[in-house]
Amino acid sequence: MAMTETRSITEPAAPGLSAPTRPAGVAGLLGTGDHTSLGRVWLGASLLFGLVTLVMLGVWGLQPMGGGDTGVLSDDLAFRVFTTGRLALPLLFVAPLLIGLATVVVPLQVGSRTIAFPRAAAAALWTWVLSSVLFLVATAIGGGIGANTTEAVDISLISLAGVIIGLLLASLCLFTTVFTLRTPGMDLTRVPFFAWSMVVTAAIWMFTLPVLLGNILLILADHKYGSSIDFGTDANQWQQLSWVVTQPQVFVFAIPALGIVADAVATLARERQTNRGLMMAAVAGFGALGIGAYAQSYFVEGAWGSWVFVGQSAMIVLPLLMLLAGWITSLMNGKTSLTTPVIAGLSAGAGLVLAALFAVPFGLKTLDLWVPVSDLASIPAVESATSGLPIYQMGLGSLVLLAAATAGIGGIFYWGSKISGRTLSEGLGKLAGLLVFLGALLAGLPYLLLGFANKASVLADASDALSGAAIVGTALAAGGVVVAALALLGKGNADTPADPWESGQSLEWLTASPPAPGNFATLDAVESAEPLLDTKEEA
Amino acid sequence: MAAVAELNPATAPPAPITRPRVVMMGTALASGGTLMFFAGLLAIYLSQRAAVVSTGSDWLPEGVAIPLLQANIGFATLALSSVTMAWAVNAIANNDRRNAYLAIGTTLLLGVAYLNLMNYFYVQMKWDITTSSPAVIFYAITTSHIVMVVVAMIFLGLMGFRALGGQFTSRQHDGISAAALFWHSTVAIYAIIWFAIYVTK
Repeated sequence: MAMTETRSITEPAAPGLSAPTRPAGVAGLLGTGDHTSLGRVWLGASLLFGLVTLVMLGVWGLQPMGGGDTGVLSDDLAFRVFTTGRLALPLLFVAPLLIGLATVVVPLQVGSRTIAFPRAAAAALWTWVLSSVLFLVATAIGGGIGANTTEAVDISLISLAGVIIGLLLASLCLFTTVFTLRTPGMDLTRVPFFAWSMVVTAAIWMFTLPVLLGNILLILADHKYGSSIDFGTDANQWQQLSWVVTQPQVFVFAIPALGIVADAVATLARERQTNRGLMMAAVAGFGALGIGAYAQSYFVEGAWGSWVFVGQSAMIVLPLLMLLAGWITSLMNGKTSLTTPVIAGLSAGAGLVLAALFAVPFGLKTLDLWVPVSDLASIPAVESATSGLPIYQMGLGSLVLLAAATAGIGGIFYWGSKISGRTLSEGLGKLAGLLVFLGALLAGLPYLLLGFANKASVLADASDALSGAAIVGTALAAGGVVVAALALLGKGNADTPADPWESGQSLEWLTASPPAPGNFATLDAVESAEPLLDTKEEA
Repeated sequence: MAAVAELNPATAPPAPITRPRVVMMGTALASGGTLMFFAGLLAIYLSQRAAVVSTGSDWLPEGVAIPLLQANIGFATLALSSVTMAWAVNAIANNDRRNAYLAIGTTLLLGVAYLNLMNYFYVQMKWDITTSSPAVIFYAITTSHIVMVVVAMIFLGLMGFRALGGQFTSRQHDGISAAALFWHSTVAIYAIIWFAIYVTK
C-alpha cells in the first residue's frame, strides 16, 4: 500500500470512540455496537422478512385468478396483504439488505475501527427489527394500511414509522462514518464506490423518507385522534403512502446497488476503474433523479404531469447507462472471471436500466398509463383493489426493487468472507443471483405490459397468463432468497484469507476474514482510491 | 534550549490527528431530515389551505381563531433562546465554564417557557382536533415541533451534564456545538411555522 513515511496511525481514527468487542451469546448480541455483528443481524433479518414479503405478494397474486371474495383471500384481506407487501418489499427487505451489507463493509472500506455512533447503530437495528415484526403481526391481526380494524391499523402505522426511523438512523451512522472516520489520505474522491453510494443514499433518504414519516403521522393523527374524515379514512391511507413505491422514489432504494456492482466489477476485472469521478457523479445523479417526495398524486393533482416529473422520468436512465458503460469497459479491459458478484451485478445493472427505460413512457400522459388497476375493466383477472396504484407502477416497483436485491445477493457473495468468515459457495451464489434476477423480470415485466392493456386488447386477453408469470417471478425471487440464506448459514472453508479474490483494491481486503474487533491494528495513509493495488504495484 | 529543540520542526513528532466532528456531522444530517419532515407537512398544510381558500371558503372553522399574540411571544422566546445558545457555545469555546453553565441553564429555561406558552396557546385556541382535517394537520405540525423542542432540550441537557463533568474544552466542544446546531434548527423551523401558519393563517 502506498504510504507516507511520517504519518502512521496506531490509534482509532476517532480517539473518543472505543472499538467494540465481538459479542458472545444473545445478551451480547443485543448489547453490542460491533458493526460486523450488527450487519449480520440486518442481513439475516432482511432475508427472513424478504421471504415473508415475497410469499405475501405471491399469495396476493393468486387472488385475482379467483376474483373477489371467491378467491384465495377475501377482498379485505387481499388489500391488506397487498399494501403490507408493497411497503415491506423496499422497507423490510431491499433497503435493510443493502444497509446490512453497508454496516459490515463501509467502516472497513474507509479504514475505520468502528461505525460512527455504535450505540445509535444498534438502536437503529433493533428499532427496525421490532418495528418490522410488529408491522407484520399487525397485518396478521387485522391491521395493515387501509384496513378497518382501528387498533391494529394504529399499530401498523406506528410500526411503519419505527421501520423508517430505524432505516434513517442506520443510514445516518453510515453517512457519518464515511464523512468523519475515513483514514488519513482518503478524501471523498478516494472512497470506494459502495461507501460513496451510501453517502448518496443516506443524503437522499434523509431528504425524502422524513416526508413519508410526516404522511404517516398525519394519517395516524386523523385515524386515532381525529374524525377520520380525510387523511385517516381507510380508503385514503394507502394513496398517501404509495408514492414511496412508485417512480421516481422507488429508484432511491437501488442507489447502494450501484456501489456494490461498481466495487465488485473493478475488483474482479483486476482493473482500476477509469473515469472514476464521472462514475461517482453518475451515482449521485441517479440519486438526485430519484427524489420523489413531491410527486404525491393524492395531494398534488397533476404531479405526474409536471415538467420535473417528466424530466426525471426521461433522464434517470442516463446515469445508469454511464455506469453500465464504465463497468463494461472495465470488464473488457481486465481479466474477468464470471463469478457470482459479476454476474449478479451486471444482471442487476441491466435490470435497473430496463426499469429506467420503462420509466420514460409513464411520464407521457397521452399513453394513459396512470389508470389504477381497478379502472382497467378490460382485465378481468386483475381485480383485487390496489386503491389507485397504477398496475404499471406495480411492475416497475417490483423490477427496480428485485434488481436491487439481485445486486444485494451479489454483494453478499462478494463480501461473504467479511460477513461470515468463510468463502461462500459459488454454485449457490450463481443460483441465488439467477433466481432473484429472473424473479425481478417475471414479477415486473408482466405488470408493465398490462399497463398498456387499454391500448392493446391482446394484452388484456393475455392477462391471466401475465398474472401467472408474475406469480412465478415472485416465487423464483423467494427461492433465490432462501438459497442465499442457506449459503450464508452453510459450511465452508473456515481458513479464509483476508483477500480471497486476490485482487482486492480497497481497505476491507486488508483486514482478516472475518474482521477482528477493531478491524485494523495499524493503518497507513492512503494515496489513491485503490490503496491495495498501489501496494501490489510497488511490490 | 530544550524548549527550542522541542519546537524544531525537524525533530518534532507529527501533529496529532484532529478529532473528527462526528457528532456535528450526525446532528447536521439529522437536522436536515427533521427539516424535511416539517417541509412535507407544511407543504400539505399550505396546499390544502390554498385549495380551500380558492373555493371562497374559510380555512378555519367558525369560532376558531389562531391567536397571534402567543405565537409572537413564542417566536420571541425561541429567538432569545438562540442567542443564549450562541452564548453557551462562545463561552465553552473560551473555557469560560461559569458562563457556559449559565447560558445552557437559561436556554433550557426558555425552552420550558416555550412549552408552557404552547400549552396556554392551545387552551386559548379551543380548536378540537376531531372537527376538521385542517385541525389534524395543524396539530400534527405544532405538536411535532413541541416534540422537537423537547428532544433539543434533552440533547442540550445531556451535553450540559457532560460539560459539568469536564468533558468539553475550548479545543473540543463538539457536543455543545452539535446541541446548538439542533437548537438553532428548532428555532428556524418554528420561524417557518410562525409565518406560514400563525401570521398568514
